[in-house]
Amino acid sequence: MEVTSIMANGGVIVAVRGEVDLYASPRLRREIVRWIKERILSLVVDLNGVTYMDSSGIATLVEGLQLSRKYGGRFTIARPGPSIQEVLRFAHLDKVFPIFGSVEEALEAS
Amino acid sequence: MTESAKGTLEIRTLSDPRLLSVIRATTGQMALIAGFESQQVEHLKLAVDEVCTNIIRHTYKADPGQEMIVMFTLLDNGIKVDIQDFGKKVDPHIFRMPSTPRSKPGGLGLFLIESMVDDIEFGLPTPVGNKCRLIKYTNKGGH
Repeated sequence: MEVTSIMANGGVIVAVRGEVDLYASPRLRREIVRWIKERILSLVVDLNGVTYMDSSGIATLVEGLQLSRKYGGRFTIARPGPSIQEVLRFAHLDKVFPIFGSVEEALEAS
Repeated sequence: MTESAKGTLEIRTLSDPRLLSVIRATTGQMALIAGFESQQVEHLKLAVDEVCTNIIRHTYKADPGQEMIVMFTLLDNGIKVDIQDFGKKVDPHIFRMPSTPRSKPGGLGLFLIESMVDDIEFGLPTPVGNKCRLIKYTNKGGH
């Protein structure tokens, strides 16, 4: 898994590539928490390059959402592929996360 | 359930999270051989991955040096996957499926497993450790 952060329009895009499982999710968590500690107002997790995500990855996203809300930050997901959308749907989280079809939309919605 | 002589494959591996990708890749290949379409292949990969993840996290407390066995059996109408650990015996009743994915911490993995396969059995007889069985049918009426 690769994680890259980009600052854009006052927010941060965390772009993730590869498989997010028990081995990889701690690295994603560290990156998300790093920005949350800086109280970034808009954090977009770009899942376009994610080919697999298990419950540990989903739990990482849920934690990011909860931590962001504590200080009034906005945590959004952009461009999840069909298999990731399906996992979110099975987990009943597709209505919990603000999910956008593009990173630009996610940033503009902030 | 109808078992055939189509074949079996056994992976003896360690509880190292880095090896989960290897287990997933093997699961995917076995699911393809069993005749599943791509979406169902992904479902089986997720279910097997979640069981192994639970073993690593809860039975072995993240110790990467413990042993796990994943045994695939091709059926006439699907696939059976037995997953065994050699840790402390766990009361299978604790694996009661949550009614909603977030009803308790860690419940999401169990909820996903249940959603991805047709049959799950925890607490199969084994002299040591714990054994769980997942079955997925190529056609839902394949019982």
